[in-house]
Amino acid sequence: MKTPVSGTRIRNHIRTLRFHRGEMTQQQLADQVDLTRQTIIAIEQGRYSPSLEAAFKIARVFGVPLEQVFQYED
Amino acid sequence: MLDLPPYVLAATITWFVVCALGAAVIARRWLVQGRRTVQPHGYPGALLNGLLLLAIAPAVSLVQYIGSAHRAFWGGAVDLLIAGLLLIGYHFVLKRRLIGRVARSAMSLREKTIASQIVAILVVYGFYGARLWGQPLTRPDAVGTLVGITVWMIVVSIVFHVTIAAYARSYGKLDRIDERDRLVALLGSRNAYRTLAAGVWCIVVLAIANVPHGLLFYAAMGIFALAELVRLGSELLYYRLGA
Repeated sequence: MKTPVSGTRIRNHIRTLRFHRGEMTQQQLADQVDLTRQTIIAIEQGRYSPSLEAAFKIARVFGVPLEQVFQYED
Repeated sequence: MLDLPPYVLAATITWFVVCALGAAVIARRWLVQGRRTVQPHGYPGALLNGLLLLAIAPAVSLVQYIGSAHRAFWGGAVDLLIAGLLLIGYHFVLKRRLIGRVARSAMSLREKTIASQIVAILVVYGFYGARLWGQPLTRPDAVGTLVGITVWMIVVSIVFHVTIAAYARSYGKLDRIDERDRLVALLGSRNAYRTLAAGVWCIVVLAIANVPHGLLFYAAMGIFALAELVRLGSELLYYRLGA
């Protein structure tokens, strides 16, 4: 699975997971995890590393383990 | 031999040490970490240092001017030079992709609001600064300036907010904040505190040097405006580049 270029060491597959969830919009995801759409955009682009709580919430929305959404790059 | 009071030399040397430490941190990132320098707070380092130097350069010039028998401003000029080098360095690092790609996108509503506040401060404080610069300050002038700045800041801010709201599709969502907004606000306040603390020390030095009260008033107002600019500018940078 190709990952986007990231500004942090944490990479994510949120864009891909949203696509597999019927093109879920960033706003829909933001509403479900109680974040703003701008923050979802920043996380997807690697400009912001979410808190542990937010990361677990995002993984729960997609129904996958945390490590399938976020990976730490050595 | 420079005919300078000891505190001016001490302030200048301290400033050079701070700049050198900042430069050493940036150099370490380049040399040791190289292309892996992608930590969240790493890449705006040179930019933030450059901007902070730019922000405080006038205060350094002021101290230099007051303390120097030659009425020179070279202290601030040196700061501006170092700030320029830091900003050029940041541009170089960005261009060489040593820091990871930074995505650019249209400004969000919150970013536009912050930008409008920056413009409002520059316009209002700039107007009063240009009008009163070089003139002796009387008590009615001081009161008038305080009231005027407060009123005009409110008026200009309302005008900007109404303009932004008129063109925005989702202005109501500006009220909603999350963990990223809180983090950006905290980082911005931290940078503003550092500027304010440095400014307070400059004012203390000026007070010890027995400068006129009017000048202290201008210095205090200027430092306050600078701290606000640093806070808002930092927030804008963190929103745009990452926090």
